[in-house]
Amino acid sequence: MKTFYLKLLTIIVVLAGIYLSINRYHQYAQYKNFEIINERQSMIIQLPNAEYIEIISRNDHVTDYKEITEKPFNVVTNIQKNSTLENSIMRTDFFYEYIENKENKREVIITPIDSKNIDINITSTTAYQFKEGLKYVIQLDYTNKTEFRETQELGGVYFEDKGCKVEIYDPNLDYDATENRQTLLLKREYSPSVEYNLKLTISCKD
Amino acid sequence: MFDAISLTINIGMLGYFMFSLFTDGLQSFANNYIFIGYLIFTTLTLPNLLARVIFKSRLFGFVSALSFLYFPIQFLLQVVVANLTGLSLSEILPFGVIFNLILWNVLFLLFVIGDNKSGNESEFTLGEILSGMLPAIIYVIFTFVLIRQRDSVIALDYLQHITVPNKMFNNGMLCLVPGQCSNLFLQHGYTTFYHTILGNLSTFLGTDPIKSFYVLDIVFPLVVSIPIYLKLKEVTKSTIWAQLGVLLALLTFVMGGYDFVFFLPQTLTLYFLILILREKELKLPQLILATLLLLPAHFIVGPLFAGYLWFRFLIVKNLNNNKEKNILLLLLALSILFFCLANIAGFSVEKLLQSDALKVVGSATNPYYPSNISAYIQNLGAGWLLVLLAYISVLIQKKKNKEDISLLGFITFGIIFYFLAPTYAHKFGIGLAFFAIVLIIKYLWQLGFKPVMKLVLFGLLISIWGLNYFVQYNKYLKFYTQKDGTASAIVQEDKALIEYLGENKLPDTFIISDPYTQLIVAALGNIDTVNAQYMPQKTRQNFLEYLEDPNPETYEKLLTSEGIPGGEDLNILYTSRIHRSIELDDRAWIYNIYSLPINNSFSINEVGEDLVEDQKRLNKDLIYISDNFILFK
Repeated sequence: MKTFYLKLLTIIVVLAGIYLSINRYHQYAQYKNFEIINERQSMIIQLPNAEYIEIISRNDHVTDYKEITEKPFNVVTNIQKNSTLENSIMRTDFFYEYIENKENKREVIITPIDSKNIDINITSTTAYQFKEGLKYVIQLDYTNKTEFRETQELGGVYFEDKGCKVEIYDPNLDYDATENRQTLLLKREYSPSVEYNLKLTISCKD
Repeated sequence: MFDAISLTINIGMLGYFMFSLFTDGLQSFANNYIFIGYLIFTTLTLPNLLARVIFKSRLFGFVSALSFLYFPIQFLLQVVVANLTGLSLSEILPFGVIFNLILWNVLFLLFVIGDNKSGNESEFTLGEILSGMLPAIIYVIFTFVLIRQRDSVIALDYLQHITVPNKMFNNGMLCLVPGQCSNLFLQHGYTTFYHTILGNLSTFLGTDPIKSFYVLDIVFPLVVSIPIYLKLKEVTKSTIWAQLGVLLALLTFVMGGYDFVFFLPQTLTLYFLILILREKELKLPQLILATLLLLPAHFIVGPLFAGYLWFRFLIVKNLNNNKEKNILLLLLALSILFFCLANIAGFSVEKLLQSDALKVVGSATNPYYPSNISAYIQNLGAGWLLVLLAYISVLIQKKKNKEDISLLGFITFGIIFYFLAPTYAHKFGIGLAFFAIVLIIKYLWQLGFKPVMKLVLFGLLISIWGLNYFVQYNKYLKFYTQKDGTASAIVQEDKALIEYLGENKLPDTFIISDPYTQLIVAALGNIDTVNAQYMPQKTRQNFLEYLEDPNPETYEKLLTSEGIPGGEDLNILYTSRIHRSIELDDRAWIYNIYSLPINNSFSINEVGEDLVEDQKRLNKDLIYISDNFILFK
């Protein structure tokens, strides 16, 4: 009797195993609406419409929109990326960038969730004197001119270009767009440690 | 019948080689896949024949593992002969390989013919061997048709390791640890035991090393499949279950461990362990000898495997009743839980005790929670569910088998060391492909499925493992996949450099370049570099600083950097990789020793005038090797 139940359990487990394996293969093999390129001093999200979104550490800035505008990562003293051999060996499913400029540190983790969705986590630790109205700003640069609009859902901004719609969700959305209509500025009240948890949804026509 | 098949295949091979010798000449053997395959197969199975024919022991067992000592002993004898005769090792070593080929054929003939007088053991053994290799052939077809590209080398380790037999062969060097022969080994991880075997496979006879590595990845699983099959056959008494087990074991891609995927010091050590485990119970002298064999083969996994053998001998063997066995099983489970939780809480040996090693690397060598758990799970994928079932089954069995407990013990040790997270902890996944599969196959076989159900189950299991293997392997290939889609460590543009170094021997030359190119230069050109791919971070920074601002001061700073020996004539090899780094301000490679840009296609439109001028000051002229390489010499 015990063997019967073990057999039954085994069959169930094997079927569950098949489901999980097919699912894993599907996740690996499915066509994705994006490709992450983790090179140089930026993270690039390449879209199928031949354009891309770039997040460059050098463009991060701390500003009060009056006198002060500092770029904490204009100069770099250490860069770590997991895009090469290390990633192959350690088998991490996310893209990682760590930038250091002396005491200023910035870490980006981009995790593809499925064919459309990406989680972006950016943590920046900097040392500036606090001042009223001081903001920490990151930039999402797009290669084409576009219009940034707010989604119906709270906390979202989107743009559409050449058959692709990119929605950017930020739970603490405070944004601006530059005059050249290519850059989305995401702002936070300045503090020594600033964190962004963004969700990107990329939908493209076939 | 199997005797006849084996003899016919071997005679056919020899006939083909004779034919090739007369039609294409001796040189053609260097690039002949069949000859390279034959050379590798005979070299890797020579110890088995020595064990059987000379020592009258099992073909695949404890003595055959010990018989691998033949290679270092043979090498030492050749060194003695070289010293006595005044000949160089490059003149003597090829004869050693040819001697081994002849010896293999003599021993094989003795095994087949000699055995026939006293019954037909060889007939049975060869039948078993072919049965064991059948699933391996399916595996090879699956891997080399669907995943691998022809002549692809997908382990930088091969390029690193070949520098040692290169030095033995070309420079007549004798070394106990690889670091004494080559400056590519920053830590002592093993003796040169493995390298004497690798030399026989890829260097000493002058075969093409790239083709040799490619064929080695085909032949090694074929050879390893035999003891895996024999072990599984012993456990299950069933040919088909054993064959399924071999296929599943080979279809397990353990990231970092690479159990049966590559022939490396750690996988050779695992092969030794599998051979040793063919003995049902090791006696104390055997255990001591096994320990002495495993330790020098690999200084990390060797002690792990030896420790496991002692665990079997001292603990598992002495478990007398179910209560003791239950306690041990629960202890194993609790250990996993404890070390896993400790890791989640932030404990890590590399962070706590190995900060110096991390400074050399430039970052942590392990992924951390939750990535580390996900990475470990991916090694077996859904197969872990069956390991769990097998564990539960062992736990509820009234009469517990000591073999099951041993298997679970090994898996537990691997997990514990992985979660302790010393540097390169992923290497502790090694052995999973063997131990987990034996456990699973044994468990499934015991359930006694009816034939139809068994057939369905086989199909499902092969699908689970096949899919996981396919994904794991392809994800591993990510680093080796170049911009043109080629998945290999050998880059098309680098072939011009390899050709140049082959045609123009550069004795007493010391080259400095980007770390990846240095590895190619050291491995395939036998030229000294600044620790090749392990070029120290500070030296990378000083090198880049000099290239961007060449002047006597930055040159002096470069000359006094770590890894650059004084008194050597330093030659800069300017590459597309370096040019791209300067032009595009891509500097990640100077901060982490594993940050190696593989692509070398960025066009060198112009080398800085300042650099040319400063090199002229040092009496160095430009040599244009190709569009992607400029040597200052």
